[in-house]
Amino acid sequence: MAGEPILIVDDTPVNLKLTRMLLVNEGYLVQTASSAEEALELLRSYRPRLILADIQLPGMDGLEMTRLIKRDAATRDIAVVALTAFAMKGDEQKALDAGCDGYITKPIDTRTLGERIRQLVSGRGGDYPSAATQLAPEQEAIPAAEMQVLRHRFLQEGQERTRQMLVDLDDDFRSKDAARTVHQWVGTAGLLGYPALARQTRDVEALLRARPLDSAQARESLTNLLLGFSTPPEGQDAPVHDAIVRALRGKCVAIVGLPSHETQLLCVALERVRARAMAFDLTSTPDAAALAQCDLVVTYIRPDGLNSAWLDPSGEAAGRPTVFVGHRDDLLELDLGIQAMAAEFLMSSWQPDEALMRLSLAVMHGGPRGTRATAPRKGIGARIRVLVADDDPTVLALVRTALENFGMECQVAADGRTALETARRWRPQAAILDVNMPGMDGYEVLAALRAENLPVRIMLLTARQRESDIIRGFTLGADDYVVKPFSPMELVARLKRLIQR
Amino acid sequence: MTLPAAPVVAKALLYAAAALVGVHLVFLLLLLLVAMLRAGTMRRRRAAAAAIRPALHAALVEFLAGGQDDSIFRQHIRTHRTDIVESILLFQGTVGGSARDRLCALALDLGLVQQWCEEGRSRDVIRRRGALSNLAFASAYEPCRRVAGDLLLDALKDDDEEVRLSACRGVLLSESSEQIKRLFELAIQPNLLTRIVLTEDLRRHALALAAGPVRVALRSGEARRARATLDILVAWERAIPIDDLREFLEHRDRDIRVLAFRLASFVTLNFESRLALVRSLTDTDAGIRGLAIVAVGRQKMTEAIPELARCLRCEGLQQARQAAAALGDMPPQGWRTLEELSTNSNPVTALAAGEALARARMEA
Amino acid sequence: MEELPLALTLVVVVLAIVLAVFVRAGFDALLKGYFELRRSLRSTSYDFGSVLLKSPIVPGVSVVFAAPDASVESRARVRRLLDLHFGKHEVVLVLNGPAQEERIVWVREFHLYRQERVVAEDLPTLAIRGCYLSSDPIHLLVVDKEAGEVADALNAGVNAAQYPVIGLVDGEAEFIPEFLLRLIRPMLGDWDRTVAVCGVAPAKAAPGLAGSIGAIESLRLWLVRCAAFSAWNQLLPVPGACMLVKREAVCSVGGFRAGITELFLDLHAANRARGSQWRIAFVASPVSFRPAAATWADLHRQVRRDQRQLAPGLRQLGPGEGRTFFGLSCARGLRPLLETVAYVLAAAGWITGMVHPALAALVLVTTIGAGIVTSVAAVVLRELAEPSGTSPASLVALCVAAIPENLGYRQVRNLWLIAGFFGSPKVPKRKSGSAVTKL
Repeated sequence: MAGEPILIVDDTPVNLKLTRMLLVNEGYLVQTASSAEEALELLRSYRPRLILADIQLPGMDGLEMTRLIKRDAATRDIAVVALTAFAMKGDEQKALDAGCDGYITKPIDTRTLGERIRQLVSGRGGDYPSAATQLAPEQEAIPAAEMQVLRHRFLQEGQERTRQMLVDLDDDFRSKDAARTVHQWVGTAGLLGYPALARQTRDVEALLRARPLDSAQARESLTNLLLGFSTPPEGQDAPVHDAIVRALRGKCVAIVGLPSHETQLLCVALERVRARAMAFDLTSTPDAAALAQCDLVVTYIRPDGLNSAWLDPSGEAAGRPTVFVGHRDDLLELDLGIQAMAAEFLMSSWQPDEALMRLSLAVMHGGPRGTRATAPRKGIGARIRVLVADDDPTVLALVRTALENFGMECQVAADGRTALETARRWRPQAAILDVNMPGMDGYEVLAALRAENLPVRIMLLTARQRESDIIRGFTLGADDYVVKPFSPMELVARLKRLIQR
Repeated sequence: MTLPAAPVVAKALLYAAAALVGVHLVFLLLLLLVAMLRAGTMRRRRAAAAAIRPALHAALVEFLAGGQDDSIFRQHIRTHRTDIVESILLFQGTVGGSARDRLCALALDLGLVQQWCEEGRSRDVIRRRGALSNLAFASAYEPCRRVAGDLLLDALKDDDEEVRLSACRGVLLSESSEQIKRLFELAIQPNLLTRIVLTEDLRRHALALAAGPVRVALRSGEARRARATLDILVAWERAIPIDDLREFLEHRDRDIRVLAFRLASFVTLNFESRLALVRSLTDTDAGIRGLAIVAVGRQKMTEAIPELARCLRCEGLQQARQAAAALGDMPPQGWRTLEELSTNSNPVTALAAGEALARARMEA
Repeated sequence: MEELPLALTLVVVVLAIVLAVFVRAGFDALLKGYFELRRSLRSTSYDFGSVLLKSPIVPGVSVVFAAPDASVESRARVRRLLDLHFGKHEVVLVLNGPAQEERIVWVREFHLYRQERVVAEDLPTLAIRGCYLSSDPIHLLVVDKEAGEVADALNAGVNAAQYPVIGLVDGEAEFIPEFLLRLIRPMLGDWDRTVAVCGVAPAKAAPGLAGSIGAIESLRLWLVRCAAFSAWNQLLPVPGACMLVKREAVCSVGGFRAGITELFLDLHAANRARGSQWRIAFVASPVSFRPAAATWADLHRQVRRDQRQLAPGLRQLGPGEGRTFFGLSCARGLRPLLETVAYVLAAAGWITGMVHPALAALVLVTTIGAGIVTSVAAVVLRELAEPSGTSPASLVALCVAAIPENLGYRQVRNLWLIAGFFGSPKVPKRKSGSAVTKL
């Protein structure tokens, strides 16, 4: 199967690029065409094993192209798979009637596309594949930054054009063109990891193609679509459980060696819980400085990567909570010592929600499985990170000692600016801020932390106890307010309550 | 003076001047020696303290954060008594609750409280101040209070103001209602510093005082006592019960009126007081009108909306803003009024109303 | 011809006696300052800082700063004023007719936005172009006014101030963040009588001879012009000081007519008119200080600046205030002049043989000799009043530095003082009969 030629026909450049990338990574030789005419021209000299064609194409549509291909004896044997959004009733049947050998609905499930194509290419239907095709070590991948740019651009353009459609709705609205545009978004949204948005655009496309056009309903749908482009997290399939969000929010996940499309999927999933990712190559040596920023490591297991430094039980990555991803057999065949490094495992066909759950369990359970039974050094507050900022060294020393005695990890800052920088770098779960500090005072630090949406509980510890001071603190977003002189025990109790909330 | 006599006179003057300068110099050099000896002693003491203080400080931090080890203090109490005292006192403004009790207990165990009681009877005012101040801190802990006995009460009559203040603060910790009343009387005396220091310490007795001494002071008829009492009530920022504020809202003394209006934001107002507040919106004194506007807004007195609207239309920018803010605190009627006035032909009115409405909506 | 040597001799003798009287007065002032310092330091052991910080009864302070420009230093100064530890304070920054570029710098620095504001007109000033607040959570009010004198800018700041106490900081002062807490304490102890407070302490000596001389000058200034003058209730601001003044008092004397020194002179004049019911207190603790002089150029600059602040006001004093500050006027203007004349005459007389060498020596003893005594006394008395933690060796070094201080530097300083006293520009007089109103 590796090396089979495939032709993709799609007029949306982003869809073309992403689908091509997916199939190249599956090991196929991929050519692309942006219209039916171009595809037919290409077929004069090129014989793909399979053609993946969008039905909605400019000029000649995909169905007509399919009929032409099936009529020509030279190209009759080429499998044609329609990419259809099912915008109109009977689209699927139309595709089959036109001669398509199969269809794939948009949004494309990037996880299963490879398998689906394999089935169609091999002519087998419905059999679950055995061991997956080994992925070529040299994979095409869109860098994460570029992917981010693509996503951002997609959302921006979607907003602008939807807004324009709403304006045109009162004036000169061409529903066919609008439907065409929206149709493109169906596939792109799916490829970029916005399945709910893809479904929404599909519904809008159906509405726009309906005759006569219901303007009021179109307006409402387009408005909802605009909202969907504006706030893509709303496009997620289902809200993530609070416990998972709490466990993963603000965390940095090292993704090591995952295939690019899995990496993308995981990145999108992590975005839902406001976590961030750093990608590493399995063949690279773990960088201590970069690893220090990561709370969790997700490592891909493949037979030819077992000698990687990331799988060294005594290596840099060994101390971090780790999740292994891979095929079941590969995971089962792991050396016990390497297996023990992982807190959780993910099988290859993982879904984003399951991945989030496994990652959160790995974080909550702490280190590798071998260490799970060990109780934290002191108390139940182990590994909670707390930043303490006060220009009074006595208060700093006292609070730090009290927190460390309760098993919390503590960093201190003697002024506001240092406190803010430390919070950005170290990502504590909680911060105790004095108000009167040189440079930036506690209120300014608080306002900055809230403006940056850093997920940190903040307690103000201050001698100021006037109503206006307290109200100001809570207005700026403080979670608690403790007046000096204070009891260290009470402070710790309040802090624990805050963090557990 | 004849010219031949000049040399004699000159020499005499010169010798006299030189002698005077010389005597002064010798005297100053002796004083310099004393100063040098003192400076040397101080530096040696500081060096010794610098060697031990960090360890004492760290041990105290650990002790107050829940540790049990106080051996370092017992070990050095004879040789570094002053350092231990100063280290303990360093935390007096920082810790409260159980940590403060532990600190006081430590001072008692080390014999420091007993030493302070002795020094509290010293003739040297500096020593007395130090001792009474330390005892005032330690009196938060009941065993220390027992050791101090009546010393703090006696010190209330001391000649020195700081000694008296320290004694007041210590006595307040005893929670005796008689003493608390007595100290409230002290707090409403003219001395501003005494009032400031005692107001903070009397805050937790606010409710108890409101029932008795506060009412007596307000009803005394003496403007000075009423003013001082209102000052304290405003500083407490507590919603304490006050029967009738009307008398003070309409008092002839402007300072008392100002304080009464500031207090009106916190207390529950009876019908007469509310009426007085609304009437004050048309007072001839612009400052009073401004305060009334603020109080009316904080009390969310919807019956004052028409008057507030009038203020918004007729007052200057500052008071128009205050009136608009008060209306912003009273949705929905207040907001409707602001919406209407935001298109008023008076630019001040329109500006103030628009600003307040936008802010109120944003905060909502 | 015989009359000339006689006349010269008599003049030299009289000068020597007058100078001896000045020296005696200076020494007495030092002693007075020593006792006052001891009393002052013993009168308060605690500043109740933590209580004052929290209490809403403590009157608020509006710190007025008339920015000379929009330089980095000026902006940093404003930030430091905003960072002061105090429960209720604001900084009123007055821009004295800034250029558009300067205004933009301020707007960007503090995220200012314009807000219409009614500013009181208690003191007459040039027109105010606009008021600005900051969108940052800081208590900063910026008053943009038409270009005028510094006094006009300060008056505009007083008008715009919302609190009853005005805070002022000398241009050279290095201050601690808690200076407001320390300075407000004497006011709270006697609110009705205390209309102003000054706080300053001498800085540690910089290394080198110039540093030692500068340290001795600072000590003398502190003991005499601060402590002693405070005891006589004649306190005037000194370089490096921070001050609090009641807003009512500033308005009652008609505001600033020139600098802070003139304001205090007017306060003293008003106090005399009221039968001396007011008090201007002195806080001897190190709330602020003038940076130590490290070079001769620093010394010159400090002397010149001090003289420029002091001399114009002293020159204008009327009969009443003139008597009050006669000693200071003598010390700053008359004494250096007479001493310089005495040197010249004694030297000329000695060289020409018209003056007996003993008389010439008498001049030297009453100036240089007595000066050394005064300088050593300043070092010793300060150390006795309040141990500063200086090492014994440093104390000795300072006393030894008194010799070159009086044998060389003193004579040059006299010339600086003369130039500063008689050469400094005039300042507006207080309008007679105006503005000294009852509080």
